[in-house]
Amino acid sequence: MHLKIENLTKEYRRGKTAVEKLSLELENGMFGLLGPNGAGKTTLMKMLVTLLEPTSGTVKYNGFLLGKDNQDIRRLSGYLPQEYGLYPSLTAREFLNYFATLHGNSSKIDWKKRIDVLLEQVNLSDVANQRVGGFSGGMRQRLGIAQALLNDPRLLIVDEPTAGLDPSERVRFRNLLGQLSGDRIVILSTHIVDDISSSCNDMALLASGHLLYRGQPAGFIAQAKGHVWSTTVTPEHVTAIEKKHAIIGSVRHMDGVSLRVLGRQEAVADLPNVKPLDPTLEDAYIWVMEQNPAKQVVL
Amino acid sequence: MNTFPLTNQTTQISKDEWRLQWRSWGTWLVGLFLMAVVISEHPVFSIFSDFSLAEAAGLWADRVTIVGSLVAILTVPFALDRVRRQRVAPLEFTKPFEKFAYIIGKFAGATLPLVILAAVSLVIHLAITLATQNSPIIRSMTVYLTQAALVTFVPLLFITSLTYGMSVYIRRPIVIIPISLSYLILTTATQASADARFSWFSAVVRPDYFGGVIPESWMSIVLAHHAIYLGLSVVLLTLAVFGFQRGRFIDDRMPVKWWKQVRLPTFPLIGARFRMLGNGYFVAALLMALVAVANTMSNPNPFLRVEYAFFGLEFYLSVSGLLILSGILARDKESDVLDMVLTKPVNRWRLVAERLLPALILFGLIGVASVFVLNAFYEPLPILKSLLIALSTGIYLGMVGMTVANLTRNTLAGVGVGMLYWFFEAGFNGRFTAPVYLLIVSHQLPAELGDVWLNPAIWLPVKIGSLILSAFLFIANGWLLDSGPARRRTVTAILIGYPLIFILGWRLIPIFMG
Repeated sequence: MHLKIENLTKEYRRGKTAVEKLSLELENGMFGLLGPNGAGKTTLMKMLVTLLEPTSGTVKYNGFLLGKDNQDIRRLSGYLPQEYGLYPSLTAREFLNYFATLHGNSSKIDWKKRIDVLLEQVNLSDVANQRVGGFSGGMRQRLGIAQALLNDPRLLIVDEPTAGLDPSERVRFRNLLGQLSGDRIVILSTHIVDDISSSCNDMALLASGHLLYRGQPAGFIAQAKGHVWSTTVTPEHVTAIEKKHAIIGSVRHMDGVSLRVLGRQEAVADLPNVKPLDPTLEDAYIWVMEQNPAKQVVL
Repeated sequence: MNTFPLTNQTTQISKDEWRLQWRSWGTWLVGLFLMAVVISEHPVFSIFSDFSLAEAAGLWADRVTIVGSLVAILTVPFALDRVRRQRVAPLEFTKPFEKFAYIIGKFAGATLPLVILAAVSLVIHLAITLATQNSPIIRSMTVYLTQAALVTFVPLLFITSLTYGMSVYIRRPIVIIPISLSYLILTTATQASADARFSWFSAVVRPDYFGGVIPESWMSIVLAHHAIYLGLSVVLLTLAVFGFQRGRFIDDRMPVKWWKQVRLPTFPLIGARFRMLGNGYFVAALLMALVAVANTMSNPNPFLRVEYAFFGLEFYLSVSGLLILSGILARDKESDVLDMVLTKPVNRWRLVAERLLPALILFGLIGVASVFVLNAFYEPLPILKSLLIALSTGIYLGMVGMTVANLTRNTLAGVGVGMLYWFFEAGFNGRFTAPVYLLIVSHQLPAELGDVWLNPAIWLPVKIGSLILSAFLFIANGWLLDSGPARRRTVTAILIGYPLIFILGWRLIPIFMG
C-alpha cells in the first residue's frame, strides 16, 4: 500500500485554513499523527476517508485518486472517527452485519466468519447478541474499531481510538494495531503520546495545518535532548521558577518539590541541583511546540 | 454495475432499516395511537347502519389512507435523519455502498409501519365485518382489497415518497413534518370546505366525499389521477437517489447557515434565552401558524368566518405551542449540557422561569400576530376571546409535551406524544376526555355526551384549571431533571394523577352542574 498526499489544502468558509499545502508519503506500517487541538488532524483524516472534499491538492492510494475514485478508496479503507454514534436498538452482531451490507456483496469476504473473528478480536464475543444501547464506553469503542476493520482495510485510519479504553484494553488495542500494520498503512491520531511512542515506527507533528516534524519517534525525541532537566526546590520557589521556565512535571516530597524543567542549558543554570534528563516523546512534543509558538492553536 | 449484487444490497439494507423501524418505540407509539383513532372511525360504529359491504370497505380504506399518511409523515422522515441524529454518519458514509441501493433500501425499510398498518387494518376490518354483517370472509376480503388498491396504495406511496424525498434535501424532520402535514391538511380540508369531491392537487381520493364508494362514472378520472401520482412518486424517488449526498448528513459540509449570522442583541439573560429557542422546532411552529392563517383565509363559506378563525387558531396554533414549549428543558440533556447545568448552584425555579418566559413570549407573539392578521384581513374578531383560544390550548398542549419530553429526556418524544394526543382528540372528539377536551372550539362534542359537556361555561374554567395544573406540573418538571427517588416519585404521581383527574372530572362535573 502506498499513500501519496501532495499539497493538500482544506479551507473552510470564512477563510479558516485547517490544512495548508500538506505533502506526505506513507508506506505500510504504523504512522502516528500528533498535534494540539485544532491542528487539522481530524480534517486531514476526514479528507483521506472521503468525508471531506479538499479545497486543493491530490491524494493517491495505490493509483486511486481522491475525488475521482472515492468508491474504490472506501473499499480499501477503514475509519474510526473520534466522535460517532451506534444504533442502540441493534445488537453488536446486527450492527456489524449492517455495516457489512454497506460494503456490498461483491466482495469475496465471508462476512459471517469475518464478524465472528472481529468480535473475538475486540473481545465482544460474549455480548455479541446484546443490544448496543446497554454497552459501556469501552465496549462501544471496541465495536467502533471492529466496524473499521470489517473489510480488512489496506488503509486504516483511527482518530483517538484509545480515548475511552482502560489501560489493559489500550495495550491490547495498540498491540492489535501493531499486528495489523505489517501489511497495511495504519494512521493513528492521538493526544496520548504514549500510544505513539510505544507503537509507531513513523510519525508526524501537525500544527495549524502544517507539518512541524516528519520522521521516526527517536528522531523527534532527539530534538529535545539536552533541554530536559530535573531540580529540587522548596515549595515557595516554585511560583518564581514557573514564571521563568517551562515546568512539565512536579512531584511534592517531604524535603521539597522535584521539578522537570524544559529549557536550554544556559537558561536553567540558575536552578539549584540541576541535572540533565533523557527526554521522552511528551517532552519533545512540548519542546517543539514551545519553539514554534505561532503554530500553537489558541482555543 | 452488476445488477444482482445491487439488488441484493438493496434488500439487505431494507431489512436492516425494517429492523430499526421495528425496534423504534416512536414508530409503535405513532402506529398504535393512530390505529386507535382509525378504529373509532369504522363505519359500523357510526350512527348510520345501512352501509353496503363496498361502502364500509371504501370508508375504512379511506380512514386507513388518512391515518397511513399521518404515520408516513411522522415516521418516514426519520429513516435518513437517524443516521445523522445517532451520529453514525461518519461510520456509515465511509463505506462503499451504492447510492441507489442505500436510498431505495432505506425507503423500502421505512415503509414497514405502513405495511403493518395495512395488514392490521385488514384483519380488524374483516373481524368487524364478520361480527356485524355476517358476510363471507373471502368476499369481505376481496371487496376490501379492491377498495384498498383503489383508494390506499397510490396516495400512501406518494406521501411516503414525498416525505422521504424531502428528507434527502431537508435534514430536519421537524421541518418536513409540518410541510407534509400542511400539504395533506390543506389539500383535503380545502376539498371538504369547498364541498368538492375530487381535487387534482390532493394525492388522496376520498370515497367519503362521494358518499362511500367512488362511482363508476369517476373511475377513469380517478385512475388517471393515480397514474399521475404514481409517476410523481417515481420522480420523487429518482430525485432522492440522484440528490443524495453523503456530505449533506455530515455537519462539516453544511453550507453557511445565514440565519445563524443573525444575532439578537445580547441583553442580559433574555438575548441568549431567545437564541436558544431558535431551532428547527421554532421554524416548524412558524409554519403551523402560517397554515392556521392560510387555511382560515381559504374558507369559502361567508357565514362561518368567525368559527373558521377560531378553528384555525385553536387547531393549528396548539401545535405551534407544542413545538416551541416541549423541548425547552429536555434540550439540555440532548446536547449533553445537563450534567454541567445541574452541578451549578443555580436556583431551579429561576432556571425553569428563565426557560419558560422567553418561550411563552415567543408563542404569545405568534398567537397575537395570527389573531391580528385574521382580524385585519379576514374578519373582525373578538380579540380577547380569540387570544384566549389561540394561546390556552397551545400552552396546555405544550405543557403536556414538555412533561413527556422531561420524563423521557427527549424533545422528539414530547412532540410526538403531544401530536398523538392532538390526533387522538381530533379523532375521538372528546369522547374520553370531555372535562379537559383539547380542541373544544374546533370540534363539536358528540351529542350523546349530553348538555353538560356542551355548556361553554364549563370548558373555559376547566381549560384554565388545566392550565394551572400544567403550570404546576411544569414547575415540578424542573425537578424531574434530576434522577433518583424524587424523579421516580414525580413520574409516578403524573402517571397516576393525570388519569385520576380525568376520571374525577367525568364523574364530578355533571353532578356539580346538576
